[in-house]
Amino acid sequence: MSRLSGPWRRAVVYVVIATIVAASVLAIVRDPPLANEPWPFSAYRLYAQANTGRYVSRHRLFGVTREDPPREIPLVDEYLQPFEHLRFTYALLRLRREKRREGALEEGLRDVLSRYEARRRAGKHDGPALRGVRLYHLRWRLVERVPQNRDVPDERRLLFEISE
Amino acid sequence: MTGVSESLRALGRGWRRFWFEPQSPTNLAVCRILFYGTVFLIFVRRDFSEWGGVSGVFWRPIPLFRSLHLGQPSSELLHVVQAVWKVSLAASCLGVLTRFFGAAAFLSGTYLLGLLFTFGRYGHANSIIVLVMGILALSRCGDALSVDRYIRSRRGEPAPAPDAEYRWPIRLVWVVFAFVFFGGGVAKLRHAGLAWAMSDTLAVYVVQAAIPLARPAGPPLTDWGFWIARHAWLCRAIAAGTLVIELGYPLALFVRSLRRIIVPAGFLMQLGITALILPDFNQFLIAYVFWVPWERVAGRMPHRGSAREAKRSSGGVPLAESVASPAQPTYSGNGRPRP
Repeated sequence: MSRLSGPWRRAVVYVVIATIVAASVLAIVRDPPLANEPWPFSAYRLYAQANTGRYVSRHRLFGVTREDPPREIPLVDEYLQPFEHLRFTYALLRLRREKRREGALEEGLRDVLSRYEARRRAGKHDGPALRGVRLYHLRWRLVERVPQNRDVPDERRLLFEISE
Repeated sequence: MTGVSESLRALGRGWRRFWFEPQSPTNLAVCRILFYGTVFLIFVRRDFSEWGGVSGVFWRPIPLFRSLHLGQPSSELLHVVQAVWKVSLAASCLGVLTRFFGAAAFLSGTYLLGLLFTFGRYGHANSIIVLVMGILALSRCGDALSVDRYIRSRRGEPAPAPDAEYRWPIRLVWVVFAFVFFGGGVAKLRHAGLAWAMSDTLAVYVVQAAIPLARPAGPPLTDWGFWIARHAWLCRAIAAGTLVIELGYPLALFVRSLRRIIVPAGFLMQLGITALILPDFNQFLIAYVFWVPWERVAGRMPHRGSAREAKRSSGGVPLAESVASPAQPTYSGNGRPRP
């Protein structure tokens, strides 16, 4: 059986193996909430929750156009860059939850609007000009595990809004 | 007592065989090329510098960043770091100063991919990329099929012989895989129990991804979500299969016959997730290159240079002196003991 060359090299390899194994075991055993995970180690709890199958819900950001009358357009990944929609939703919900900083949610949404407009003016996307941003909670009722209308939610609740 | 000590000795032999049985450098080298090359192609057009312009209200450093007292970077700094990362990935793929650029790829890549998590956490697909970069940075993956190797051979240095150094990095990536899958299975049992497989849970996740305004990420590769969700038995069968694969994945490390079933099943499962739920999960699929026995794959393909390469390899001096123990069998170029 081969051995690694020299005691130092052996020590390095064993430390690497032990670190990865120990950190992986600890992350799984402790199962901390996502925000406190010892990244890049994880308990991999994504999609681990059971679901009743009655509803699908999602927080979603919409832009309000400058047109008359104004339209609402969903702010997809392309408009939220460098955020992706889901990462941004988590970040926003965390701001809502924390409540430790007055006006943090408003500051976050204003940042979205200003970046959207700056990127639009720079030609980085072809979305319409916006005058405001709205955060909604959307919900689809499922019948036999599928929604009646995939494009129109059954419930739509406005949570927060900012405008220029 | 004799039985116990015999068992311990057998365990020790098994441990050493698992991690340190000599292997030719080719397998690890192919993994290096494919892994770094694919990561480079995925991220080459991605611009991380925009994170420097995001409002500080979103900045919540992950524990790693907190412990290093890293603050929110400027766009200028991110331009530099991402250039370093992309150059390092390309250099590591080609095997140019592999040890140096491997370390640079790991440090800069960890910083950039970790940065994403400081602005909002979701997904684990990037985590395995960081861990594999770390493992490769400490390995000797540039000893074959590399510019480094070409330069050494021009200087008259012999080709490296089979060595433990080419085995443990691949095995450690396997262990990371086992933790990822096993952890996912344990999390499902812990948070949902068997209801995860026996309820409509999977159907709801699939349907969610099929609704444009409800999906967690970009559109999945297919729109089969509604069709699958309509068949409750199919969703539950897939969910039960998922749990079996995840919880049984560690067996793939030790039982070769099960490895041939579990690893492809895990791959297909993740391909299914990519197709139905999360399109960016394909980043995880890159690391499957470490499960493929590339030498055996190449051995089944006719190629002209094999005899010459085998002759050159067998005449080489092992990089690690300890490999050249008189009790060791000698190895041919394909890593198998020579009669």
